[in-house]
Amino acid sequence: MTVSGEARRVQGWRKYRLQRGLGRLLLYAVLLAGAAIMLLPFFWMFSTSFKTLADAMAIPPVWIPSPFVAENYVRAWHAAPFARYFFNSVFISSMTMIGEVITCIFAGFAFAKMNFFGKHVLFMLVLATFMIPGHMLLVPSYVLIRGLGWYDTYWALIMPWVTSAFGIFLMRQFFRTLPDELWDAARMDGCPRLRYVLQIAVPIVRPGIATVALLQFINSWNSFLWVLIMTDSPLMRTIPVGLRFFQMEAGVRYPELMAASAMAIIPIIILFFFAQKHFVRGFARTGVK
Amino acid sequence: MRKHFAVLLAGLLALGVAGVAADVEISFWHVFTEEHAEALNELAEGFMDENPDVKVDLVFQGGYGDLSRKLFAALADASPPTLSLQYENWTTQWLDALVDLDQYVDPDVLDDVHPRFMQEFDGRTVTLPFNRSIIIMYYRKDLVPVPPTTWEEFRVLSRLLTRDTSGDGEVDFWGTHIRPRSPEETYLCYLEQASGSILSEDWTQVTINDERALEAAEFVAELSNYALLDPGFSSGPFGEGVIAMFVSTSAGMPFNQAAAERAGVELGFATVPYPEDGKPASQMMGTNVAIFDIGQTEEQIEAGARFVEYLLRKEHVIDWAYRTGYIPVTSSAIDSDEWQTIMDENPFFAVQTEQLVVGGFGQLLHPEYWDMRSVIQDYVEVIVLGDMEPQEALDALADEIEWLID
Repeated sequence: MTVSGEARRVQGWRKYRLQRGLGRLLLYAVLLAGAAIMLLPFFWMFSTSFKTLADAMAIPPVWIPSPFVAENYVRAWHAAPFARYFFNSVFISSMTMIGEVITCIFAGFAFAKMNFFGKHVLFMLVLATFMIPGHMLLVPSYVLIRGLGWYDTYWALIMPWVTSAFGIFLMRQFFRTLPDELWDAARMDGCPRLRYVLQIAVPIVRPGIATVALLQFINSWNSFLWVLIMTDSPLMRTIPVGLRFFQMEAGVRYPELMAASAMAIIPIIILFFFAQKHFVRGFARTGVK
Repeated sequence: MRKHFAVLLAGLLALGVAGVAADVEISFWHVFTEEHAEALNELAEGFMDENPDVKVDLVFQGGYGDLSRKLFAALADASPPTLSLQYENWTTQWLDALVDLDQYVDPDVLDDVHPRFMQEFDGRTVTLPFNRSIIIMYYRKDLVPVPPTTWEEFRVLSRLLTRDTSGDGEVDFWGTHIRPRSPEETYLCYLEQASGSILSEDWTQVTINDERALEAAEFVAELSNYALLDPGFSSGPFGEGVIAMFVSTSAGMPFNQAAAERAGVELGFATVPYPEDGKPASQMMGTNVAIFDIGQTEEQIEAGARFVEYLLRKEHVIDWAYRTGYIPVTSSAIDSDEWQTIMDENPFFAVQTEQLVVGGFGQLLHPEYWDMRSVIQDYVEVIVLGDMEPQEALDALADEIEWLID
C-alpha cells in the first residue's frame, strides 16, 4: 500500500516534471521564434552590409554574402563625413537627452505634486501639443529658427527638443505614484522642496527617467527631416542625413546603406544594453505601450 | 625698415586680394551623392578656379522630396539658395521667385540648349536643364534578340514571353514589368506617343479622356495582362530573371546593370516602342537648375548665371553626362565628336541620346500639374490593375482634372 502510494507520488512527480519541462520547452520555443523574428532584420542588415549590390537586390534574399564585400564599410564611411556626423549625433542626442530629463523631471513633478493657478489647463495645453502633426510645424519652425539666428547651429538642433509633452506626461505619471506622506515627512524634517525632488523623489522614479532619457536619445538619434531642414553645413549634420547618401534617384545602394546603418546603430545598442532594465521597468510601471 | 614695410605692404595687399577672392558666395542645393556629387564638386572647383571672386557652396539636401520641402520652407522665410535643382512642377509653384535667365545668361548658351529641353513658364525662361534622364526600354538580350519598336510588337512579344515555366499552373515569368504608380513609365509616354494630351494646347479643355488618350489607356490595360505588376523598381524582378523587358528611366542604369549581372544575362537598351501611326515620344525625367531672386544680391544672381553658363559649356556637359549617365543637354555636346565616340563605345548612351532627339518631352507646365500628376497616378493604377475599364477611369480622371483647373 505504502509502496504503491510512493510509486504513485513518484509517478505524479515525474508527470509534473515532464509537463513542466514540455511547457518550458514550448515557452522557450515561442520566445526563440519571437527573438528570431525580431533579430531577422538586424541579421539582414549585417548580412547585406557585406553583399554585392546584385546580391542585395535578390528576392528571395541571399542570407550569407558570397562574395564577402567588407569594402562596403570603407565606401560607406568615405561617402559622407561620417566621423563628424557620428560626433554630432552623439553630442546632439546626449544634450537633448540631458535637457529633456531635467525639464521633464521638474515639469512632471510640478504637474503631479504642486498646486498652482491654471495647472490643469496648462497640462491640457501640454497634452494638446501631441495632436499637432510635426510636419505642419516644419515651415513655421524654420522661419522661427532663422529669426532667432539659430539656423545651421547646434542651438537649432538641441533647444527645440529639450522638452516634450510625452516626457512631461510620463514623469508626471511616475511622480503621482509617490505617496504625499513622503513629502510631508520630508517637510517636517525641514527638507526644502528642491532637495526633496532631487534627493528623495528622483531616485525613486529612476525607471521613468531612464525611459524618458532613452526614448529621447533614440528620437534624437533617428531625427532626419529636422536636421536636414535646419542645417546646410556638413559640419552640423547627423548620421540619418548621411544615410540618405545611398538613396539615389532610381534605386538604393543597399550594401553601403546597410554598412552605414550597422555603424549607426551600435551606440543605440550599447545604450539599450545598459539601460534596458530601467527601460522595461519604466514601461511596465506606467502601463505605457 | 623699408624692407619690413614692403613685406607688410605685400602682406596687406595679399589679404586684400584674398578678401576680394571670396566676396560673392552662392549656394547650390542639390541631391547628388557619391560619384554624382564628386563630379559636381569638380565642376564647382573648376568654376571657382576660373572665377576666384565667387565661392560656390554645394549643399546636399537629401532626396528630391526633402529638397522640395526645404525649398518651400526657405521660400516662406524668403531665404532660398542662389541656385537649386527643381522639377518643372515645383517651378510652377514659385515662378515669381525665380530670375529670368535670358536677362543674365549669355544668349549663345541659351541657344545651345537642346530644343527638347527648352521650356517656357508663362513665356519666361526660368530654368535650364542639368541632370536630365529619359524613359527608355531595357531588355534581356538572350530572350529578346531584336527589341520591339511598335506597340503591337511589344504586346505580342510580351504575350509570347509570359508563361508558366514550372508547370504549376501559375505564371512565373512575364514579358514585362509595370509599376502601377509610376505614371511616366506606365501611361504618359504612351499618351504622348498616341498624340494625346492631358489638356488642350490652350489649357482650357481636358483631353485626357478623348479617343487618343483611350487608345493609350487600352494599350496599357492590355499590356498589363502580360506584365508583372509590382510597385518596386524593375531592377528587382529583372535581377531575379522573371521578366524579359521593361520601360524605365535611364537614371536607373547602374541598378539595372547590377540586376542583369545577378541574373547572369546581358542587358540591352532600346527606345520605347510606339504606335505605328504615332510618335516615338518619351518623357524626360530629372531636374533643371534655376536661380532665385529672393534674398539674393545682384552680384549673387550674376555669379549664379556665370556658374550655369559654366555647367553648360560643351566639355562640362559631356564630362557630366559621361560620368553620371545623365543625358547631355546641349546641342554642341550631343553633336560633338567626343560624344559620338562615347555613343559608339556604349550603346546605353547612344539609345538615351537617340530617344531624346527623336521624341523627348517634358512635364505639362500647368501650375496645377503637381496635383494633376497625383490623380493621374491614382487612375492609371486602377487601369493597370484592371479595377476600372479604361474609358470609365479616364472619364473619372478627366472630371477630377477639370475640377483642379477650375
